[in-house]
Amino acid sequence: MQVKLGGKIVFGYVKPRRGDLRIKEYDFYKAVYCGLCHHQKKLSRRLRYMLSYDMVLLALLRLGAVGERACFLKQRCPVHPVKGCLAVASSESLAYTASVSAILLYGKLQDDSRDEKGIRRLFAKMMAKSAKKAMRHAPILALEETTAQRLLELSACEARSAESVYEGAEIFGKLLGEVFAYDGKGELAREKTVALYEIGYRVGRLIYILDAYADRDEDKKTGAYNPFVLSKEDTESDAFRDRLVIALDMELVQASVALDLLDIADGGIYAILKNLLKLGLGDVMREVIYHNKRAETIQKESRKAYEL
Amino acid sequence: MSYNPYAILGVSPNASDAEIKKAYYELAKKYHPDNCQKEALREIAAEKMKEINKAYDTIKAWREEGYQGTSQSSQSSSQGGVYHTVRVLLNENRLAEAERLLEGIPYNERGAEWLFLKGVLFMRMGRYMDALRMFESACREDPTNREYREALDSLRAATANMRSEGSYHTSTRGCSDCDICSGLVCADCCCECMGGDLIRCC
Repeated sequence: MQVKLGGKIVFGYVKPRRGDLRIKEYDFYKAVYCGLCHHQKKLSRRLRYMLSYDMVLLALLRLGAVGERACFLKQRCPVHPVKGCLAVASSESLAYTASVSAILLYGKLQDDSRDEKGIRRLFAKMMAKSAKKAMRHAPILALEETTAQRLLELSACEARSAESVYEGAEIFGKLLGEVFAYDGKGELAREKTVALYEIGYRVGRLIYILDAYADRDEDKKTGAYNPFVLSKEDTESDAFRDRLVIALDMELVQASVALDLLDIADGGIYAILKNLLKLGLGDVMREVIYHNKRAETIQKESRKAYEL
Repeated sequence: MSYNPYAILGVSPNASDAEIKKAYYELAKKYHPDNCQKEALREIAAEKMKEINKAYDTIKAWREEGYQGTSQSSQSSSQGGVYHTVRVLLNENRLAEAERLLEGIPYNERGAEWLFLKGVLFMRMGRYMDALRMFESACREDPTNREYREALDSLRAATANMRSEGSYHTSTRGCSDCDICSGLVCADCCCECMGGDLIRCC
């Protein structure tokens, strides 16, 4: 889930609150991440290093909604060369998520190779090529089209400097909703796709708004589009922050309701998802909104993961 | 808008008689004093039961009189007629038309009610941040109005349990999933009886 706003890469808004996960749940969470990484490798070796933790949310949702049984394998990888890691073995949900990750990355990297300069541009171009290769490996044409369409809409929204943050949020929400609810083989019941769409939509809106708020200082300096910079209100005031938190909590409440309607049979997966949506996202959101400093360290950490 | 029996039963004012009956029976089952073993709890349940009975009777009486409970409180301002139309439009989910009407009102005539209705409109559009801002301004303009205050409070209450730090594993404190739903339903009812809507499908 990489949002491009002012040329910045965003990682890791969707994280669990670790203290509230059971150990087996945390292990499962990690296994899904490692499994995703292995699936990503099958598509493109380079791309696996750009895998975001956010994609675990999608993988878990799909695993839960489809009701696929996860098998585990101990595998070695560059990150865990000696000890190896427990990873979810080949699964359709994970393969789907890996393809989605490639599609989203491709959209982002293409943007970067247009806007960035110097070594970053070179890097973006190189990675975009890998992403394209990965997309060809496991094509989801319908999704590629709609995603490209939505990204175009987003840049149009930025170009005309939309005043309300909700305009961009709406588009990004729809993008994620479509990605979450995509059902190429018709294996999902209608209620499930509706619930999946709602979760994607809400999470997308939240991430877009949160990201815009987190980037407001940098965008002010660079002059990039940011609805919070354009806003006539005092975006630094406590009243504004409180309002923002309540508004974003509303999105999380709706996402949680949709999650319950998804009716996930596997209790463990359900618990992790509940944690991600209710606690994890809520924590990250509050950190970003109230203490910007800590949010910056989070981003620094995730950038480290990205450079690896 | 002092007493709202619909909110107590957790149904929308547009609910059918059958729906209201069902909601009543469900609540009655839930709060029946015989379910409680502890004396103190039994008293609370009995209190709750009384409230539910009263609400059910009131709705029945209203409906027999043909009163739907949707007619709104004071429309003293000069824009009263327009505001009423806006409320009707909002209720019917005709957001674009409602917005046009609201924008048509000149700046100097925009009062607390305008702010409130704009807030309801934002709420329906899913623009919660803007809705909150409008409700807050409406409350500042007219601090005595209960309708505006309740709209603001219900929006805050809907997210209250997200703020509690408790873990969901230990459900001894904090809110359960059930509470979120009932909170939302309550917020929806509050909004609906004021001409807004939080959850479109009910």
